[in-house]
Amino acid sequence: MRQYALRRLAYLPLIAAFVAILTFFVLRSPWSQDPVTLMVGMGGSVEQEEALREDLGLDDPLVVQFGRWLGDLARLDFGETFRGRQPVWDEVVERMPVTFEILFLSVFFSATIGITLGVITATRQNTLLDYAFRGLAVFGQSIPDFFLLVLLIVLPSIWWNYSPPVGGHVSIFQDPWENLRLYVPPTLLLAVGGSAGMMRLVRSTMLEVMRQDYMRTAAAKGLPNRSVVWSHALRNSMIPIVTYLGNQVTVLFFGALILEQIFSINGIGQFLFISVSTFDFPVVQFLVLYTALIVITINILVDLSYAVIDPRVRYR
Amino acid sequence: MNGHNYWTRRVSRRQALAGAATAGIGTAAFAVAGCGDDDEETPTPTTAPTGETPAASPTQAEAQINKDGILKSRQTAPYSTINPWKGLDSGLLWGFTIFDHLWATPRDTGKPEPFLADTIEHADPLKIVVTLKESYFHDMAPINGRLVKASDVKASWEAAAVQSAISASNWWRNILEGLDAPDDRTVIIRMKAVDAWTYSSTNSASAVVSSIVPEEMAKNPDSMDRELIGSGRYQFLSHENGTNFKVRRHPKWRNEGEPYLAGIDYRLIQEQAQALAAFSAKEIDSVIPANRLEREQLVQRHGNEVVVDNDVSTASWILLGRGDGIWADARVRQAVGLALDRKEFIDLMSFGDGVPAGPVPPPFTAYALTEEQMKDTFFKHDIDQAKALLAEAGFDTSKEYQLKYIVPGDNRAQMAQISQAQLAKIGIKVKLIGEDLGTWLQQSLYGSQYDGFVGFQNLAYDDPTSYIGFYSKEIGGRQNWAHFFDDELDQAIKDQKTILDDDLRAEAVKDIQRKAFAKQAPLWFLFSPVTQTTTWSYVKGRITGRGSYGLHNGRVYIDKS
Repeated sequence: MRQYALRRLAYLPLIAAFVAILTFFVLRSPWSQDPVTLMVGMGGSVEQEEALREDLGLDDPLVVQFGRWLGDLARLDFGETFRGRQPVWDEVVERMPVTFEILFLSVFFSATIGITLGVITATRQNTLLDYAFRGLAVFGQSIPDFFLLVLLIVLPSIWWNYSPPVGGHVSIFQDPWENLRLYVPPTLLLAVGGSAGMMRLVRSTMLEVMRQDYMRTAAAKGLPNRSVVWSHALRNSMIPIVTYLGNQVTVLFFGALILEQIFSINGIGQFLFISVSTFDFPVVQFLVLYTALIVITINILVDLSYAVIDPRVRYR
Repeated sequence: MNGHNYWTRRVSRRQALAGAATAGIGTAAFAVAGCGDDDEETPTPTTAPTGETPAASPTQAEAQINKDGILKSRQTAPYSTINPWKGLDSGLLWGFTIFDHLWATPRDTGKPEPFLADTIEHADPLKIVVTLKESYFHDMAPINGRLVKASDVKASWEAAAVQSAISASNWWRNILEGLDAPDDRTVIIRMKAVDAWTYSSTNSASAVVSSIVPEEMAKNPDSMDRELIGSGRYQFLSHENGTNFKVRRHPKWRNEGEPYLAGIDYRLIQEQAQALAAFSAKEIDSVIPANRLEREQLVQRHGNEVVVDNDVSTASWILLGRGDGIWADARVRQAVGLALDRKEFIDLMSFGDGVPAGPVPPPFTAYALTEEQMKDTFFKHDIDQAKALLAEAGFDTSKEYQLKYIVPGDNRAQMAQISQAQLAKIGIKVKLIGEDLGTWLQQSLYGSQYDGFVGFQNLAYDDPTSYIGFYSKEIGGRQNWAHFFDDELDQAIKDQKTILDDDLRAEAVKDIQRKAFAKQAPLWFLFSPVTQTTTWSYVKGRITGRGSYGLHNGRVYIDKS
């Protein structure tokens, strides 16, 4: 397994290089936009634009810019933001706790609710409960996340003149109650779609596993039902569930971007959104690369987890 | 203040204090929107009360009320930096709160009002001698609350003028020669050329560029990435990655007892639905409804508990044509003007909440032509006459002409569609082309790459010259965007800058507008929307009617008793 892991990790720099080069040149392609024009805006003079272009190093030939960027990258210097002239890395690090908390909570809710309801519906197949949760799952998968998030803002306001806390980040260590009041409701809603999908997957996988001979054996040898379901049926259903969960992390990462926008939370998603719309090249380059690396890493972890979940899986 | 005696008389302390007493709620809303986004409404008051700065009207028991409180304002977008010299949004917000200025020029009167300046002598048109009031920086390391000195003003202005990341106007780059600080209380401003708009809010009264920072920070501008120290009414307390700013009262502010507010808290709220919800929940103290429906809903829900201010924006909607090729014939351009029905634009785009706008928008009462003066010229709408003019000019109606506008933005698309429909009535076929901001700005507008029209809402400038500048042969180093080159107009625009008498200059600006109509300049100002800032009535001491400089106010307070 170590060899397999090392082989997969060896691809990382290659993929990263490909993503980095692609992003760099796409941003500077002729059909892209000029960040200087956007920064100076209407009413700016040619003289002002030229001064700013020189300041940002955008007046150099593309090859020179690329060489400079590669050199900086090799020294783990990710450059400065065009607008604020702050180190990109520092800006990202400051926003990490926000986005990671959203991601963690939404993955947690998605997995907990999805797996729990999946197990319940699988063990109570074709009962009223099963039909009810399956109906809810269809609803959850059909309704867009952003719509639910907007409802969370609009309805309490209309009914009770209440507004959920928005626009701020309070550390969980500083004020746990305020932190959860801020993050739990939206992340719960963000997890609705994922948990619905997860529930349907767990249910169908569990039903298939529960028809296997070893499940009958486990029940026949007198194991308690709880042990049969949670230790045998669920454990043997875990591979597709973990695969789905891996995908969910990526999906929810982008969901976090929407959540940050709607709830005005200043995290990485918000930072990326603004940087893309203002063509802040260093930030976009870094965040695209960073996102690519995270997605690849999650995929590797998911692959490696198969061996942990199922001892029969061997990597060569 | 006339002719060469402009600002020569000594301004008394009493007048100066009165000058500083201006008001405005929604500091954040304005500062965030500022000149940044033409979709954002700004509190842009309309009326010009008197030459004297208005003060908040006292209520009967005002003397007994504890004037205090934290004002909760909306921030509409995260700031990329808190450094005022690296971001326009930061510059505007801090310019109105943390930093001091020598003077300010409200748009309603167009008359400069002293702020930090105690006396101002401008006998020589190329030299201004200013003495400073006693004022102190915020008590924060390393400045530690020291006295504001003339050398701080000199260092601030000279450094700000050369910053590449902020939009310093031509005045800062080409008119201002330098400053001298012969002693701690005296500043001498030297200019290379006469400019009658020296005191305007895009020039020496710019909220951003004229901010006075400590000399130490002016010499090391990067230090403002982390810490902001000024001598304005409020001192900087905290922020969260460019959001949720908190400022607190400057305990040593020069006007004793002011500011009334203990501080202002800004909260990042980007979505309009969220802002309305937060307002209803009293999480913020004011909100700008996007349209009449939203405003009416708020009034219906909260009744007399809220106050609505109707302010005419200076962000006018504009249709820009061309002055060359098939459009070189003035009759064709006149026909386009006659085809435009401003009332329809106002009804469809703003639910009737707007006023027709001439070249200088209505809030600039001293410089704008009145609706009555324009009813037979700019505002005349006559389809039959327009058709006749097109026929007389032999205009080719078989061809389709472009109208380029910025996407995304519902209002922009709507403006383009209404223009298309109105022009179709006189036989001009228009093809709508939506473009992203960068392409539209760089290629279509600056590069004049359109064969018919471009449509947009201009920025909410605080200075009337920004509007007549559209008629110049050269705009910001580029040739006229519409390729409309008129020597007489161009010269008139240059000449008015040298007229130091306020009244004569105002007349010259009006005359330029009349000339622009007579020459059928291909620039059709359509209307200025009316914004309805809605505020909880417990926010007292607000004053409207001052433009962005109405925000230089120390007499707002919260009274929930």
